[in-house]
Amino acid sequence: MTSKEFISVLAERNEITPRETQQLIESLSEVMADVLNEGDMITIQGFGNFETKKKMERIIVNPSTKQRQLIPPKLTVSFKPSSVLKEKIKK
Amino acid sequence: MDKKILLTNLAEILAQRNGMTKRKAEAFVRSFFDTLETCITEEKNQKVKGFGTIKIVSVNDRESVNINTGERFQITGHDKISFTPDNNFRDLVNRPFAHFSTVILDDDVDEEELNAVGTPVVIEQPEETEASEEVVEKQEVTETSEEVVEKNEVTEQPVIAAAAALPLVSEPKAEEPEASEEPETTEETEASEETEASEETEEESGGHNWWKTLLYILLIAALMALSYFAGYYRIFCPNQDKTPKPTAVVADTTKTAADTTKLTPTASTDSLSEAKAAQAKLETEAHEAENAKATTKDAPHKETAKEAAQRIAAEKAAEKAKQRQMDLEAAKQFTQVPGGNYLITGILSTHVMKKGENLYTIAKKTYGDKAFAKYIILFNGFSDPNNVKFGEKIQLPKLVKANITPAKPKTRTKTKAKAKK
Repeated sequence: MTSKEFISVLAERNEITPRETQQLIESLSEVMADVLNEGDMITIQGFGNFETKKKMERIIVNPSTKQRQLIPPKLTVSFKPSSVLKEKIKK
Repeated sequence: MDKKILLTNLAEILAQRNGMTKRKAEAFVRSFFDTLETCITEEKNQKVKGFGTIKIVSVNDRESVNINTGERFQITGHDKISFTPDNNFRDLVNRPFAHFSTVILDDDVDEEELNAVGTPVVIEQPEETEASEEVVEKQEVTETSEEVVEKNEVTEQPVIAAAAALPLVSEPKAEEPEASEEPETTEETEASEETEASEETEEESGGHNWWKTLLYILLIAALMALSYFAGYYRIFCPNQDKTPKPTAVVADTTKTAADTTKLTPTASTDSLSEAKAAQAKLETEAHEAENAKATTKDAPHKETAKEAAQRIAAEKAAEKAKQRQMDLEAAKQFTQVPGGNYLITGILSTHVMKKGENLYTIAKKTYGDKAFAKYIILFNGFSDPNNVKFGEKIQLPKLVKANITPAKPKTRTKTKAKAKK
């Protein structure tokens, strides 16, 4: 399913236009980012947990130019699927 | 921090931001994750614009080793759910560190240097400076110890000479030179100890950890030298003050004009010597001693003048005694301040309170100190001394010092009384 199809399905279920749905999805990810930035963990029952993980700064070497670069530290989202979702996928 | 945010909480915030009802928001969030779930279970891959991609990645069978037993075993292939956030979402999450950017490192920057940020360099530098300081200090200490010995020899002679000269002026000072000599003998022992200590440091320097121990000992020796000098000058200077003072007292008791004139040159040299450096001091002291000798020689010639002056002084003293007697009698008429240093002997003047004045300012003006206000309060019998109305007439008491030794305020009141007469 493409992103468009997904949005249209969601729009139908909530009886709103696809454009509104897209906006709401963006707003939802923004809310999630805000919550995650505060150091909290998002738990969705039956789906999984969203968490932030800090990646330390590191030095990489560009293999082709042999140039070394310092990659700054960053926060990333990590998703851990719940056991319920895992079971569903197994089937 | 570290809270568990549930779907309902997310929906609440979403509702607030988008101006929709909580129920609708919750329904939307729930449906969002529901459809996402169904999508991945059916199609193993779902991309959502503005959120991210959820994929199901199949992992092949692989061999592994049980770390406890060392047994080889097979991990069966399974499906793994991976979530990759959208660029937009990723940036939002990374906002706190957004200001960082990748830095291209120069070739000459070493990785090791970055890891250990110059810690060995920082430690090495002070050691070097310490070593150089030690050498300098060592030199200083040896120099100062030499100076100590020299000065001890030089300074003691004039002091003794001055002390010897003083008994010629008056007999009661016989005790004085002994007292002045005592601290110096103790100082001598200190100095000798010091030199020993410095010798010891040199002997110990052959040790294993000798740089450190030497530094400490040198520091202690330097401190001792400093304290010695400080103590020496502190004891030395009062000696100068002490020695002429008793003569001044003698002069007062005998009340001879000749004596006082005799003492003035010594006193002036005294004050000068205090201001000058150590060596200059010694010279002036030598002069002092000579002066003292000279004046004692001159004394017999001025005897007639002395006798005349003595007579005048005696008369004055008698007058003073009379005045004192009168004061004491007068004081009995007035109520006195309990425990006060001054006696109220009469009315000095009357004063009309002006605007902006209080008893303390008046006391300060007439007697020289606001502490005298208590005499005014008692003399006038004020119940509330902090609230004296202006225009009120107050009487200022005439004060005489309760003890015999004269002081400034008494002379003030006297001069004022004289002016009135």
